[in-house]
Amino acid sequence: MRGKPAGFAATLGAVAGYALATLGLLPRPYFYPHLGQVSWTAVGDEPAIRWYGSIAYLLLGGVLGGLLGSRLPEPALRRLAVVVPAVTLLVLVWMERRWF
Amino acid sequence: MNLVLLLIHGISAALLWGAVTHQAVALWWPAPRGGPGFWRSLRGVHAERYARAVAVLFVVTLGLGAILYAPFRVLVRAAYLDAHVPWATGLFEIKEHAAAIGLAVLPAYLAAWKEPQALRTRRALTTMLTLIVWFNYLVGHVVNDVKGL
Repeated sequence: MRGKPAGFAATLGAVAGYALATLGLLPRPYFYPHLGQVSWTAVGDEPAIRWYGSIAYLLLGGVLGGLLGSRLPEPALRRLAVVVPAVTLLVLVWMERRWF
Repeated sequence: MNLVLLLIHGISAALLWGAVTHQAVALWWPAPRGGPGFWRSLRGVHAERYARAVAVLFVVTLGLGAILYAPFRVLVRAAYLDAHVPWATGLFEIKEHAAAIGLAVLPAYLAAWKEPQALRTRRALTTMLTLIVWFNYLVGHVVNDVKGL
């Protein structure tokens, strides 16, 4: 992983990892803070955190993106590194509309 | 312990908020260095020198927030917010997504600040990061005021 293209590609990989995990397309573990346990299955009404799993996929996607994606042309990577995170964030915000 | 971490999280967030806002002002509204007056001095800083500090502060603030998320999930969200103030839970969920996307944007943001040709990308990513930091800073305060740790 070297050079500026790797930075732009790492962002794309990280956003992809987070989005795929949060949208349920990758398996995410449940962390139960009250029990101090991690599980792949839901435990009744026990409050769980799945965001940690999404962040792990974000970090993994960032590393993979930085390693593999830097071969793409830099101008395209630069544009995508702006558009993809912005659009992804708007989609994720839209998904939370049930709370309002 | 939670209170101490929350205070450090808040201080780190305030430093981040100031640094990224200062950088964004200098980027969008630059002024010659050394001129008279507060506003001219504020706009005349070396914006590129803030990039690494912004990235480090973002990671530190997010890391502290991630530690505090566990007690928040049980003591605040499950015990009160979900049932009584669901819009606060919704705001907090959006804050989580925004923080994650901000973290993901950091490599491109740092790369754009090293690339002399990438002025538009630098402006776009710095603006995105500034909006995320402002949103998360305000939501953090609002949710903590509704029901804190």
